[in-house]
Amino acid sequence: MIIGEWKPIPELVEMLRGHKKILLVGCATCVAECAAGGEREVETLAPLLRIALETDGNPIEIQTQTLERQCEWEFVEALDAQVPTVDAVLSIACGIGVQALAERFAETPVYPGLNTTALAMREEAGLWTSRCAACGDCVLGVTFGLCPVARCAKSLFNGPCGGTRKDGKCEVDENTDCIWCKIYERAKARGAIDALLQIRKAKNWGNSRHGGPKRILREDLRP
Amino acid sequence: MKSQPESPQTFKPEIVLLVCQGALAQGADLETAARRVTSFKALPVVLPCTSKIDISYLIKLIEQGADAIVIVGCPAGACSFLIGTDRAQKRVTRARALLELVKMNPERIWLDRGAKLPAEQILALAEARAQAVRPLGSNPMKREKVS
Repeated sequence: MIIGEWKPIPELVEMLRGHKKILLVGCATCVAECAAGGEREVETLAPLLRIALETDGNPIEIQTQTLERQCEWEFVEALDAQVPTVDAVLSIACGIGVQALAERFAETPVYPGLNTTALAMREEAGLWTSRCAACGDCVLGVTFGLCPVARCAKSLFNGPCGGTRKDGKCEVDENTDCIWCKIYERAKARGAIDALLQIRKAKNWGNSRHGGPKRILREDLRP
Repeated sequence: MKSQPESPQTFKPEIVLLVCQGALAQGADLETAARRVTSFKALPVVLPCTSKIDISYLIKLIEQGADAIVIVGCPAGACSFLIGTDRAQKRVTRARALLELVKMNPERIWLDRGAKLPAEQILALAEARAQAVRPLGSNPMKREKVS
């Protein structure tokens, strides 16, 4: 899932100051799973912002909506009648949802309420950790199902940096596993350490963030 | 409409009481007892468990003008759902932190614990909170009465 966190309240207040009527829109998919942008968070953030702005001398009307997904036009169009009645929209979806609203409602300011953080999974209740960097050339088949691009603090692709702690944690963060240590342990458990010594072809980084905007085109699915 | 400033002596805080049914003595009539209180306005709601309380409910109650919210859950180890009040405690901690972010005094949200308390004792907990919030004055978000 895509994870994110609320922007700091003072930053949101600054964005909204001067507006009289806004629409706060959540997304019931990824960011609801990470407790940042679902209906509960919409219904928590809206009264918080009303308090912050009213006590700041800028009372505001905040309407609320939570779409099933903000990244699909079919769901976004449900706001067609409401958005023209407000001064601005605050979206607490990921950056994709914010851009979808901004594109469909180009006449209305659309502000991001979240900082989109990563592609992640829920490791345990209340803890989400990064698992994928969407680098466009997946190597999980040769790294024993553990991603060094997303899970190494330095995104090292060809082995550990030498800063692994004695307990197998990362030198950058004592709460984070050294993923190369984990890759080694998994290879060892499978009796396949030799596989780590094989020379691999250079990875195609042109598909990652450095390679410009991505698009996938499937003629068979187009109208 | 904003309320006029009141002196701590005359100010009757509106206290929303969210009470676990396990914290309330069997047969206790909290609503009737609450109506007899004169030094503050008690608005009781009895819940199957305090873990039913969501953070959004607490923030919304403050936004709608409650002067304080008192949650009364079961003592540690006495919760019928094992960790219900512990969950509520964590949510209260988070809600208090959120209130601080919008410069609202977090003392307006409070959690107490007790088992099978008579209505008068529950109201005594609310009275203690009323005393604590009187110096803060009326909730600046107060418009109409909380219902």
